Amino acid sequence: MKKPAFKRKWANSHLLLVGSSDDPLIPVLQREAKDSGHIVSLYLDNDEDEYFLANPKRVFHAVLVLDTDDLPTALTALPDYVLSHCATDCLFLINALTTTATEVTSFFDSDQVARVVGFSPIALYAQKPVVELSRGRRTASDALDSARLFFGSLDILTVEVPDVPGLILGRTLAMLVNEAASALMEGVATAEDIDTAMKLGTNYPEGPLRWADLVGLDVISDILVNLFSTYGERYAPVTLLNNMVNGGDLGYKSGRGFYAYAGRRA
Amino acid sequence: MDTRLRRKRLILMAHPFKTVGVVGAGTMGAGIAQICAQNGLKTILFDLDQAALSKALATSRKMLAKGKEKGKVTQAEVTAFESNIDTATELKNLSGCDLIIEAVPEDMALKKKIFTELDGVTRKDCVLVSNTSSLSITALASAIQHPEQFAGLHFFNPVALMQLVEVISGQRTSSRVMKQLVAFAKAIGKTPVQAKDTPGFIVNRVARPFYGEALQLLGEEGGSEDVARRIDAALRTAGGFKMGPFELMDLIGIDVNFAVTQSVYAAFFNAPRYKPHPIQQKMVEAGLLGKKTGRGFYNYEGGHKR
Repeated sequence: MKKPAFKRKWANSHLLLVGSSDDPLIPVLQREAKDSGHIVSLYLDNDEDEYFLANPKRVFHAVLVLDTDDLPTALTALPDYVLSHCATDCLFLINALTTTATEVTSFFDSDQVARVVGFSPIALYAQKPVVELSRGRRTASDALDSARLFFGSLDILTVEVPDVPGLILGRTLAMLVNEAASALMEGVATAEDIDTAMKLGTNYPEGPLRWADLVGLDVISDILVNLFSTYGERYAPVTLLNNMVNGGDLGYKSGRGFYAYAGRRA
Repeated sequence: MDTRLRRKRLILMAHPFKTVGVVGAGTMGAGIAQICAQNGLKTILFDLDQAALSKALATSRKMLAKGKEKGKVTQAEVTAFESNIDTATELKNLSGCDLIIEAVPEDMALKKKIFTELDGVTRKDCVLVSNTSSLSITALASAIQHPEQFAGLHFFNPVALMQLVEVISGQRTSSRVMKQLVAFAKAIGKTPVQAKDTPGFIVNRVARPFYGEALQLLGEEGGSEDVARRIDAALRTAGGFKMGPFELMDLIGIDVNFAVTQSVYAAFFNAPRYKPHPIQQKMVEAGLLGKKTGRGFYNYEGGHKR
């Protein structure tokens, strides 16, 4: 019964995607949104000129911010003329892997803040069409419904979770990866054996190290660093993970992570 | 298959263990003895308690019959089990074994005592292994004369169904023994992974955050069943996990899970990553241990999760 309603609500709407050009999810979301009949504009790498040329006068119905590493900077960098081009009921979808929906409250004016919804794209990185949604302290409940319908229009399933750092899957997965990386670093077992053990011994759908490669080690590391700054030592990324991220071994997208991917750039 | 290849495969799969002893006829010991015997190895199941031995054999026979009904076990395997399984109530009856797998309760002193005794009755080249999930293999190995002949062989419950076996090398385990045990695990139809002797080995260590983060979140969000439900749902839907952490803890037993958490935490000298959560302790104190007591994070009265 819900489907026709959101098709009506979200048909032909204007979506602004904010993020960085090397994020593999940007083209995926862009394609999905276009296929679902939305009009998509991009604001990538804080490049104002690109944006301005492409969007002389456009009114956005949804702004989706995908950055993970430094969301506050990304939001600060959103110029006023972008925000002034938003419809009064524009939905703000904020990547909540490293910033809770509540934490970004101060970046929006009082009307807008009720329409800020956090989401976690972590399953999307592993090609699973599901997002977690979270509600900040000042998010209106109809904004959450609206977000659910928006992702529904892209055939993405939603599940509501508490507004906690990393949300549920991101936080759990990041810690599983950190532990697996710590065992690998200490020479407890090979990457293959660690993944095999977790798949066969505890029925995980994917080994944590292979999973990390799919999501991107930079994303995993960003989640941990944010948790570390929020809660302390428990969440400190292990040295191996830091070294891999610093060395550019980010997983599948860079050609090498815990495993090597032939044919991808390495 | 090319004969040379086949021969090579046979060599790869070869292990020197003709007679296997299993010490302890509890759930794990019985399961281990069953798969050894049904895969054609002479197997002697030891327990001081004759009743436990009888019960173990009866359970195995029932499981094999059920497996055969489902087409998962062949008649040949049933026959192999019957002709290969034997029982003993004295450790000296294991003196002819090439491999002895200990599966008694997780008590360091008890296990060491058994290994020292076994060391006295077995041949020098007999390989001794422990099915411990939490004790140090290196510490257990100190109970025998030849620690290079000692390793860990960690099976998962239920043994007949779970594919995985962790083969654990203690500080002084020889690489030859590791190779033999890997081949042995494959020969009894399992998928072996190799791990160094460290707290929790692979599975019980890497899985800790799955429970730990869920408990942390539950604590932060007020501890209601509704929050547990939402966390489980998120991990099933977005993560693809078959069960959420709270459902899984209820199934494993909150007391069992808490004990593993405490043991790993202590073994890593209280590193904050492994810290147990007060919620676990409260539930154990209250006797809310999960499915087996009818209540854990969820209510199972009437046998099903509500």
